[in-house]
Amino acid sequence: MAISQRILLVDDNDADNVYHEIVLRRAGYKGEVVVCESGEAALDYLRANPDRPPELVLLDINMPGMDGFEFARTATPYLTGAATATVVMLTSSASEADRRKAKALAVIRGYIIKPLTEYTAGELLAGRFDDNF
Amino acid sequence: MLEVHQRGELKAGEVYLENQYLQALTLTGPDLQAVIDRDYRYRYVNQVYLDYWQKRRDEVEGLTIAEVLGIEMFEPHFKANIDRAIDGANITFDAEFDFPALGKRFVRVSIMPANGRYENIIGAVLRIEDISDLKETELSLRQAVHLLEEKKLDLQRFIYILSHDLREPVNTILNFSNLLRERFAEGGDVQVRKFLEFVYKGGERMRNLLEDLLKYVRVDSNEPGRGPVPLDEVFQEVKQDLSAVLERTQAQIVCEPLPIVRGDRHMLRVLLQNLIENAIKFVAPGVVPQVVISAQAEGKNWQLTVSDNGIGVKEEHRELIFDLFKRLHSRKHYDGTGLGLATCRRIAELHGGRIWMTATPQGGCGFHVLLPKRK
Repeated sequence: MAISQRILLVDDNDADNVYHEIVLRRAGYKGEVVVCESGEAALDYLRANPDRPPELVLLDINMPGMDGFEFARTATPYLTGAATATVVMLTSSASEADRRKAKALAVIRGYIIKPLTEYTAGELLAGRFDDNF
Repeated sequence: MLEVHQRGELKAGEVYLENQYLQALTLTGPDLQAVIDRDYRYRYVNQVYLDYWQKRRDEVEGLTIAEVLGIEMFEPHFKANIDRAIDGANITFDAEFDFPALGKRFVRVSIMPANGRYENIIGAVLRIEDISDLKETELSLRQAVHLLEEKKLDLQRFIYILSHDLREPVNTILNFSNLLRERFAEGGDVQVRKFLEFVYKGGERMRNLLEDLLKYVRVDSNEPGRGPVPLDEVFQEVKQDLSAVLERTQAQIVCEPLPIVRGDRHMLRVLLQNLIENAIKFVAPGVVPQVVISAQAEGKNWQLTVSDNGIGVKEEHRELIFDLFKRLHSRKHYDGTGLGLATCRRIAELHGGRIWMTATPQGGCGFHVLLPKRK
């Protein structure tokens, strides 16, 4: 399994975070799941754990304070370089505008509309990202 | 009203209108009328002209426009235009004149060359039409349209935000009630299973309603495309999207060759999908759905028809079914949000066409959509 160590969930909705962890586990994931309820908290985590970077970041868009895109932009230096993490948007927004914004950020390699299904989780864990989202 | 004037003196070269009917024709009417000579001198005006400018006939005829109306009226509005008319052009322009007593009025002014007896241009004919009422109506209409559009946008935005913001909590209900259903799938507590089923189904209904609402609002808020849309291709895409349903119901769909119409590809896809979905859904239990899609030319349009072997619609409901949220059957028998046909109607309207339903000989439905031919 390509993703096996650490997944970072960034979403202000606690119910979604619980659910998505369950789905990831059902898809066979046995590693660590780090939950951050805001972009700011996620940035703090990345800064504080340079030796424990996530392999996959599942990122919501609409959050109070820093939104998903702002986080992706600000966190890019922590997610590229020595530690490369794949960022995939996991959002309830089906808007074309948001999809385009995601495409425009190089660090984002996927756009999934909630909820995360076991099938999609399996694909992500296997490292199969859809760059043509 | 007939106006007959006696002239005391006829200057050499003037033609006096002897024919009273000809006179009536030229003099009568609601507009201001005047004829001037090449020196911008009034030769004749009608009574309306005098009334509007509050002048007596002897204060106008024989004098120049500048003398009667002032140089500040003559120069900007009349001089250049009259010169052009005398050169042979027909001039029309709108302006706002400040009339004594009446005040500011919107007017439409036409100035045309006056032809003399020997095919020379002897002056110009002026007609001034008071279009103030027209302008006022136009303004009110424009304001009303603007207000309506604003209201419509507000409503759309409201519905959109509402549907969008409700998605996340609805998903939460679905996600966790589903987990619970799984956890209690085996075991003794039948009631728990039943209750969870109701919760889940309720969540599903909410989600479907939100999806359909969003689809409906999106149809309205975008400018429809006007390019060529090959319906054959659209059908293939719809068939692909519905493959799971088709598999499950074993529905048989026959599609005759479809034309290329002019419109919005995405909207027409939604239209076709809704109609086919309905055709598959509304069949009697145990019946295999059979759907036929065809098209025939109707003048400048194509009439697209989707007919089925389903349960049909009673005559008294055939108009109603296109209303928003209208459902004819209880959820126990046929589920649905009541938005599909309303969306179809909106799409048909946006294409300048319409949609209606007839009954097939077997009692099923034939849905007909009029769509414009590709240019």
